[in-house]
Amino acid sequence: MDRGINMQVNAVLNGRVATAFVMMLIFVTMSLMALGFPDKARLMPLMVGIPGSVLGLIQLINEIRHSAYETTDDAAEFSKAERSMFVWIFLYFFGILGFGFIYAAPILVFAFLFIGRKESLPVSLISAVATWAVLFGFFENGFEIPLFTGLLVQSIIA
Amino acid sequence: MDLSGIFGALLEIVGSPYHLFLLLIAVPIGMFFGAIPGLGGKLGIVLAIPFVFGMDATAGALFLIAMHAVVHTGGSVPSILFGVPGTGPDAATIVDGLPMTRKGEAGRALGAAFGASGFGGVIGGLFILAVLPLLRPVVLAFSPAEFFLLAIFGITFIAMLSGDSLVKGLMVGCLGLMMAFVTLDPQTGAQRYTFDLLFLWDGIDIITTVLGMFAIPEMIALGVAGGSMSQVDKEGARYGMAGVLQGLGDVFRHWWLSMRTSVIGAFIGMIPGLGGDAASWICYGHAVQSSKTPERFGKGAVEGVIAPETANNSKEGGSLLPTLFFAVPGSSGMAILLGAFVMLGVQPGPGLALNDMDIVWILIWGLMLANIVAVIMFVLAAPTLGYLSYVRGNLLIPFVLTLTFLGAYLSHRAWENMVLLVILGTLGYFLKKYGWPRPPFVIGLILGTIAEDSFHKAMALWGPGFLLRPGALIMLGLIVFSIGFYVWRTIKAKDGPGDQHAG
Amino acid sequence: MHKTLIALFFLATLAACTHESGADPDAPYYQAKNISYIVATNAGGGYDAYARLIGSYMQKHLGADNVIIRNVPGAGHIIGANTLWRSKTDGLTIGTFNAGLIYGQLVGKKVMQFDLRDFEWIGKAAGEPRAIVASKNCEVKSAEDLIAADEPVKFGSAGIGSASYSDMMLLADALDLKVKVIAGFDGTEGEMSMMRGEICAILGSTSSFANFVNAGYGDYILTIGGNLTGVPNAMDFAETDRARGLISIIDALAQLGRVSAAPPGTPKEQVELMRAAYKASLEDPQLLDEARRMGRPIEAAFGDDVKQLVVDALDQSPDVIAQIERAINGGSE
Repeated sequence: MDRGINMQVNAVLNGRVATAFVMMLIFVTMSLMALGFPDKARLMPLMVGIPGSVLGLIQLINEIRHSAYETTDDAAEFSKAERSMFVWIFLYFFGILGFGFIYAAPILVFAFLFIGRKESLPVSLISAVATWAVLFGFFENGFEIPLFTGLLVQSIIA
Repeated sequence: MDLSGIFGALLEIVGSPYHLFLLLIAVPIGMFFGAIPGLGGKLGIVLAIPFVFGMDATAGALFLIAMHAVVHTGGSVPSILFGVPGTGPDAATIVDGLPMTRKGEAGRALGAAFGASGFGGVIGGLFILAVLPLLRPVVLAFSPAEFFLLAIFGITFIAMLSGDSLVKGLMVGCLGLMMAFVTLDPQTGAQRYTFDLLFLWDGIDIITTVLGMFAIPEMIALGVAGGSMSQVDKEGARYGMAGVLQGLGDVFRHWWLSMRTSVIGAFIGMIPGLGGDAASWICYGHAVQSSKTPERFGKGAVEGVIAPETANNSKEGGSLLPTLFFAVPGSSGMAILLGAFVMLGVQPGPGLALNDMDIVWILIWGLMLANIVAVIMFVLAAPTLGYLSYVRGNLLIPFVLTLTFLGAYLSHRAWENMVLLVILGTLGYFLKKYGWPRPPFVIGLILGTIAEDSFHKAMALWGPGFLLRPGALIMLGLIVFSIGFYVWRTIKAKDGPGDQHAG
Repeated sequence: MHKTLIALFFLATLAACTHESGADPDAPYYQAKNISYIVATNAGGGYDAYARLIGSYMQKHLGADNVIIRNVPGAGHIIGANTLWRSKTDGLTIGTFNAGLIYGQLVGKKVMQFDLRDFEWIGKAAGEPRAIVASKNCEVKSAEDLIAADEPVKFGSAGIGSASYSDMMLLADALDLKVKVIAGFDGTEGEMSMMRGEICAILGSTSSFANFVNAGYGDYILTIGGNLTGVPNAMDFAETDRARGLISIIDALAQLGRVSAAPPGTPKEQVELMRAAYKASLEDPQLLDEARRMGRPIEAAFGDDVKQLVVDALDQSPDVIAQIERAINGGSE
């Protein structure tokens, strides 16, 4: 009997429910924060936030009930491939944030292709060089738009 | 109608090799700027200004308008092929354009997009001619009261784009609205949800939002699924010229829809302050609402590409009107064009109609011709572009990711936008995964600012009585009608074909 | 076929990677170097236009390789000014922003990381005289009407916290005007509102209303910091020292307008070189001609003159500062 309940609880604590919960939480938090604003400034946020929170609660309950009745739900699983892609997104993010486009992007492109996807060396290298060429040639030189140089780089130079 | 003036201007363009040359290089440049996410047509015009400075008014204005007119045509390319919007308004094209690519119909989607863009652009030009005499009263009829209700009207479309779950759709839409409230409130000077972060003072950037909500999830999904954007074998697919021509044909097969969305787009462009970004979404919503089979939308319905693309281009025609005749820019792109026109020696304003109608005709023809040239140029290139949908996802992802981060950064040159990008991208992915619709978020964000701003102004000007203004009453009627129409349709659909009930 | 096109595309990009170097140097320091011109707005606005124009001439006069415009928009010029404040002091950076930030510094806005007095002031290209424009639909036809009005006159203004809103509130305080200020009108929205007969008047930069007035939709009824034939100056109506003091602040800001500065701590030598090049640019007949064609007035002041204006404007008594604070933070309606 206990195992049955555990399974049910586990089934409920899945991605679907989590998403609905997060959505509701955002509304509730923003509505609460809106209470601290001056009158005119909080009018619309509350007019939207309170109904939003209510809807969020409704949807959360829906999702929980839905999940409790189903034992398998492939979509609710967070697969390895997804994890891997998220890692890449964050690598991109930290790389570009830290080192700027010109340095980070070609390296990241190379890394993604060669290491992440096991593409051949020539393809990876050419892609990386092409990325650099476009960023440097078109943006920095051609259009004279200085590209972000990265927070770490900036603090080293400064 | 001054026919000799109108056609004289046309001759001035096509009769001069110099002018034709300018037209022919302006178009690909404009489309290029539109196609690179984050660059946007505005930057293109700013960079073109030094080049154009030495030219005479006709040549310079022609070059600029030709460049500007086709930015959204180019912007449809990455939207359709990769789910990465080239410009803000092109995000609406992703909703059905991307699924078409998935089904192997990239060529058809591109053909439809270019055809629709060209069609919309031409109608936008003709719209100017038709509306010119009525311009003043129409533009002046829109006060904050009407703006507020127009925004509400746009937001009611949220319900209709909700796909399967109304609650989810409304929630996402409301979330977009809440995000619009993240700003330094102009009405009170209070900081709302900004946590003392300066970069949030001006609100959440729409380009970053659109890139985060659509581009990132698509790339993640592509990475997870493997393969290429198109999930159909090459042999069975229509990415070549045949598909492109079919897409072009679709624009004319759905000619009545194309007409309506072009006119709506031009009209929205004509009202300064409504924001061109909304035009493509509103017309998309209109296409869904007016279709007999709305469930096809979001899954690759070609009308879902035609509607926003016509609106994107026709709105430029519409926004020329207040820009030229009131010196009030119809959009932010027009604001820059306005400055450029002044620099070239054109004096926008009511005096223009008396002194220099010639330049107006040049601009209108330039707008229309540029759109036509764009269609021709890109129909030729479309098969090559369609081929891209078969490129291995592995090769696409790193480039598209780079462009996405670049686009987010370039919008306002804020690295913080990249943080926003990743946060919204993560949210967007899970929304996509668990069946929450994403377009309502974008609509909420765009229209939320307009709604709140207009509401407070209307209250300050007239108090709650603003709802009783004639224009406001008409809008209220429209809102009630559209909601009622939607409800009726939903009930009818649920009843099914065999049921004898009245609706 | 596809591959050839792609290859050509990349060849073109690589070709763009090379560029030519600048003209012969007047100042050896700047030879073959790039200068960053930080603009606190997005591309396409007034400050951007001036920066691009002046930058191209400064490049010539300094013998530099390039003057690269860096747009750093946001938070009403604050982000751009903050960025300039923190920039490297090697003499290769200059920036422009709205002198209206003076209001913010007077009330001590925490988000401003700078002290305007400590910037190395290069000069200003043009002032931004203010004026009140009243629409033809308005019962108020002159400054006297405005001052004598019994019912609050509806004014439009940009968002609360903006320089234009602050101008408006200070003026209303100084001349004891009965006004109802409706905030949130950006750019030309205010003009449209006047044409619709919703609001009566706006206080803003004179040049921005030129089209509106020329088209016959409205009239200038009052100026601050400028000279318009037949239009009285706000100072004419100031009856107390307090009023005069407040108006002189607005006046000072109107004088300053399109200012440019280098980060604090830039070496004297480089500052002098930049000031000289700025002056030479703004006196260059070619630039003046270009500016005229672009519709951008030039009324320049240089170096220490500008610095003095800034320092003076920031030198206000606590009483006045308190008044400004009240005005800026959503004062009377």
